[in-house]
Amino acid sequence: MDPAPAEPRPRAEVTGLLRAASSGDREAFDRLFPLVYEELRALAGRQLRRESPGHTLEATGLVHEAYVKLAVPEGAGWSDRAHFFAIASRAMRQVLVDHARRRGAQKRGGAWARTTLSGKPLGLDTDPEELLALDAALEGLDPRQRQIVEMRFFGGMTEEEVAEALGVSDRTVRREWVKARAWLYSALYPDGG
Amino acid sequence: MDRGRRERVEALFEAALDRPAAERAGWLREACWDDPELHDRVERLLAAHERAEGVLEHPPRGVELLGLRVYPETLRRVGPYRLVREIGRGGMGSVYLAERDDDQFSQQVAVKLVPPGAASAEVLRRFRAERQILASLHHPGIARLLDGGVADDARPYFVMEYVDGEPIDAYCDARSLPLEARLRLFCDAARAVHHAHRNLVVHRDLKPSNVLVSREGEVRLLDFGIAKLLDPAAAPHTVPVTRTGDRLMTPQYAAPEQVRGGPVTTATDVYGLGLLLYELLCGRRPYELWGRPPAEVERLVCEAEPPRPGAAALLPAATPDGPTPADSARARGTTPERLRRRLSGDLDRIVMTALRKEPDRRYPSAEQLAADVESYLEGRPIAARGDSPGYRVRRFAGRHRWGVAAAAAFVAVLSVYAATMTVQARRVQRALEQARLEAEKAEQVTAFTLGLFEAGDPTRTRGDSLTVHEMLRRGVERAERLRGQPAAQAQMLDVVGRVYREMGAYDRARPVLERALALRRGVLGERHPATAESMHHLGDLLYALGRYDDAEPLYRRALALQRRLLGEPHADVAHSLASLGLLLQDRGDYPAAERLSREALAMRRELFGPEHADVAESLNALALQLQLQGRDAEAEPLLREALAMRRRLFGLEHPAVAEAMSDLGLLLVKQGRLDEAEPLYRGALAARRRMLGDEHPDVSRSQGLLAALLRRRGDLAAAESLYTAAIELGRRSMGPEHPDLAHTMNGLALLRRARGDLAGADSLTRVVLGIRRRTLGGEHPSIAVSLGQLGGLLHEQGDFAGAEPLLLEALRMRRSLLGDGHPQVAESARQLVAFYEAAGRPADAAPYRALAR
Repeated sequence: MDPAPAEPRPRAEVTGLLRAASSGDREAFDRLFPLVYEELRALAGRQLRRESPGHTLEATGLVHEAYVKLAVPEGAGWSDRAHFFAIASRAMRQVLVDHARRRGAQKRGGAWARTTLSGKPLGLDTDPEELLALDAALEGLDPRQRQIVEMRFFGGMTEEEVAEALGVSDRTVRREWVKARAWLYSALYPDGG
Repeated sequence: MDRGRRERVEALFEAALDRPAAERAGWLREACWDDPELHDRVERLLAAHERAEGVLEHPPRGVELLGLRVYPETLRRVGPYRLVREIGRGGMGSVYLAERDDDQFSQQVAVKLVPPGAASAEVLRRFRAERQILASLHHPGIARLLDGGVADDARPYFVMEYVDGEPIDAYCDARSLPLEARLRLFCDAARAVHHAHRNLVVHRDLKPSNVLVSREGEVRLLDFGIAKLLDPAAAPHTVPVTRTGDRLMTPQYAAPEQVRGGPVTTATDVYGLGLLLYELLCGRRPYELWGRPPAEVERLVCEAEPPRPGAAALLPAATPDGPTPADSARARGTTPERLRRRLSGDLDRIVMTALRKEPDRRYPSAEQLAADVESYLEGRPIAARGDSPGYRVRRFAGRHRWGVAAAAAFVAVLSVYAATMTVQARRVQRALEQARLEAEKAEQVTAFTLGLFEAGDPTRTRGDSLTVHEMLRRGVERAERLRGQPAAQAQMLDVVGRVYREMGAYDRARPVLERALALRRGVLGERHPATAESMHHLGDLLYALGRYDDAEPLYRRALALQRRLLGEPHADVAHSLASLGLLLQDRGDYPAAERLSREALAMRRELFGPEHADVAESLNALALQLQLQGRDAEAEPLLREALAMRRRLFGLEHPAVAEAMSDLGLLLVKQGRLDEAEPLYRGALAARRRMLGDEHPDVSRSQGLLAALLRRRGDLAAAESLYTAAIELGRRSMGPEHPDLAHTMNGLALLRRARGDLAGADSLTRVVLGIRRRTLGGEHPSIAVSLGQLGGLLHEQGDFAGAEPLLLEALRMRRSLLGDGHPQVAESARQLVAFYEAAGRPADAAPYRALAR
C-alpha cells in the first residue's frame, strides 16, 4: 500500500501561521508545529520508499526540504525563514524522539538512563536510549537554551540563523550554546563521566 | 536550584571562562569564598564544559529510516464523517473535528483515527483499549463514545462527543470565577474521575488541558489515551497497573510514584486532582519543574514539601511570564492577602492530603476528595487532617538519614574548630561542605536504590527479572565505584542483596549481603543501627536458605542491638521480633514464636494503628503459630482478618495476599474443609506465577500445597504430577536440602503410601527424614512427623521390630516439644496403641490409651 502524497497545504495558511508564530502567537505555533511535523515525517517516509532499505539521509536536508515545500518563496522574508527553522527543529527533535520511542527504548528501567554521549553524531541509527536521555536532559534547560540546542543540533542551523530566529546577537547564541552544552553534559554525567 | 541561583552559577561560569585556564581555579575560590556550594556547582559546570567540547557540534546525520514508516493522512472521511481539521494529536492517534454529512443530522463530533502507517500491534492494542475504556464509561463529566468503525483503508477509528470548551484553568481565569465556583467545577471533575475508577479505569494524565469546561459550564474529562484498565477481579484502589517502563505521563503533572516508575493506581489520579485543585485555588503549581534537570525534578516531586496553597498565594511569580500574586487574586475576585486567608486551614489541608507523597496516605478515593471539598463549601468539618508533628519528624529522618548523620558529623567538626573559629573560618567551611557533599552523594545512592528496589519488587515488575538482574549487576558495579565511601557502598550492596533475596536469587544475594555487613562493621562499628540492619538482612537470607542455625544468632544479635540503640517501640525492633518469631516457629518452638509475634503485633499496632501491612503480617504469623499449637479455633479468625486487611491494603495481586490465602487454605485443609481451601490454593498459585514468574520458590510451595489437597481428595494422578513439578522446581529454586522442599517430598511419600507403594513411600520418607535432620537439628516437630510416618510404614510392611523404636521416639519428641494437649501427641499415641494391638501386645498399649484420647 502506497498512499498518495498529501494534498499540498494551502500556502497562504502556512505563511500566515508563520507570521503569527514569529510574533509570539502560541496558538499559531501549536497549529504550525503539526503541519511541519507531518511534513517531515512524510518526506522521510517518501525518501525511504524511493531508496533501498537501510539508505541514510540527512536530517538537516529534510528540514530544508520541508521548508521548500511549506513556505512561500516570494512571501517569506529572512526572518520567516529563520522562524520556520526554529519550529522545524523542534519538529525534527520530535520525529527523532518518537522514532526512538517506537524502537522500544521505553522498556528500559531507569527514567533518565545515562548515555554515552560521544562526539559522534546522533541520528536515527543511534541507540534510542541516547536520544531519549538527551531529550529528557533538554527539558532541564532554560527554555531559551533549549531552543538554541534544538535549532543548532536538531535543525542544523548556523549561529547566525539561530540569532536571527531568536532576535539576539550571534555572541549571545554562542554564549548560551556553551552554557547549554555544559549543563547537558553535567546532567547526563552527574559524576563527571 | 532556583532561577536566581542558576543565573549566578552561569554568570560565574562565563566569567571563569574569560580567564586563562590556569587561573580559573584560584579565581573561582576567591569569588566564592563565602559560598562553597556555589563554588562547587560552578566548578562542576566548568569540568563538564571541558569534557563537552565538540559534543553535539554536528547535527544528527546518518539518519537511518528503517522502521520509521510514516505517511501523511490521506483520508478525507471515515464512515459517514467528514474530517474537518485536526484538533489533537498523540502517539496513539490523531483527533479530528468531523461532521456527519448524511443530510440527516449536522452533528459535530471528534474522530480519533490510528495514524496512517503506524498501525503496529502495540498501537492497535492501545487504540482498542482506549475505545473499550470509553465504551465502559457513561458519565455526564466524561466525553461520550458515539460510534466506531473501520475506515476505507481498514484503519480503525472511533467517534466521540465533540467538546467545544476551554481548559478548566483558562475557563476559570477568563471569567474571574471566585473560589466557590472553582471548587464546584473541581468537584464535578473529581466525580467524573471517580466514575472512571469505579469502572476500573485510571486516567493517569489529569491536567488542565484534559479537563475542559464547555460553554454551558459543564466539565468534561478528555483523553483516556494513556489510561489503564485495572484488573477487573481486583479491589479498585491499590492495584498496580503499570510496569516500570510505562512512563507516559506529562512530567509537570506526574505523581511521585510515576516519577519513580512505581505502580500507578487510582491514588495517582487523586494526586493529579490535588495538583489541579492546587492550581485552581492559588494560580500556581506546587513545583515549578520547568527548566530543571531530571534528577532535581525527581527529588522535588518525590521528596520536597511544596508550599501550601495559602502560602503560595503570596509567592512571587514562578516564571517571568507567570501570574503575580495580584494577578492570581484578581482572577479570583479578591486580593492576595484575602486569598491567603481563605486558603489557609481547611483548603490547605484538603489539597495537601491529596498531594501526599505516599499513595496510601492520600484520600482513599476521588469521591472522598470531592466530598471533603463539598463539606468545606457547606461549612461542615472536613475529614482531612494535617500531618502530626511526629509523622513529620519520622518522614524527615527517613528522608534524610544520611543528612541527619552528616549533621551530627557537622556538629562534631564545629566543636573541634570552635576555638579557632575566626582564623579558621574557611577551613571550617570546607569541612562542613565536605560533610554536606558526603550526604548529598549518599542521598543519590538512596534515590538510586529506591528505584532499584521498586524495579526488583515482584509486585511491580511481575517477575520481569531480566532487566532487574541487569540493574542489580549495574548496582554492584556502581557500588564498586563508591570505594572511597564505604558507608554509602555498604548501603547500596545491602539493597542489592535484599532485592536478590526477594527475587529468590539466593546464591547471588549471599556474597553481597555478607560484604555489606563486613563493611558496616568496619566503618560504623558493631553497635550501630545500620550494622544491626545488615545482620538482620543477612539473617533473612540464611533463613530463606533454611540455615536456621546460622540465621538465629544474627537475628538475636540484631534484636538486642536495636532494642538498645533505637529504643521501643520502634519499627525495626518490631521487624526483628517478627523475623525471629518466624524462625523459631520453623524451628518448632511454637510457644516462644507466639510470644515474639504477640510482642511484635502489639508494638506495630502502637506504631501504625490497627490497619497496616506490618500489622497484617503479625496477625498472619500469630495465627500460624496458634494453629501449629493445635489452637485452630483461635487461629482462623486471625487468618481471615489478616487476609481481609491485606486485600484492602494491596488488592488481589500481591505476594502478601497470596501468602495469606495459602495460610488460610492450610488450616482449612487440616480440618478437612477441602472445598473451601481449594479456590484459595489455586488463587494463590496463579497469583504467584503471575507475579513471581515460574521459577520462584513460592510457586513450588504453592504447587506442593495444592498437590496435598488433591491427594486428600483422592485425585492421586493429578496430585502426583503436581508434586513432581513442585519438587523439581523446589530443587532448582531452593537447593536440594531445604525444609520446605522436604515438606513437599513428604507429601509425595504419603501419596505413594495411599497407592499401596509402601517401598516407594519408605525410601522417600527416609530421604525426607535425612534432609530434616540435617537442616532442622536434632529435635523438631517435622522430624517427629517423619519418624512416626516411617514407623507406620515399617509396621504396615510387617517390620515390627524396626517400627517400635521409631514410633516411641516420635511420641517422646512430640511430648517434649508440643506438650501433652497437642493433637499430634494424641496422634502418635493412637499410632502406638494400634501398633501394640496389631503386634498382639495389648498390655504394652495401656500406658498410651489415655494420651490417645
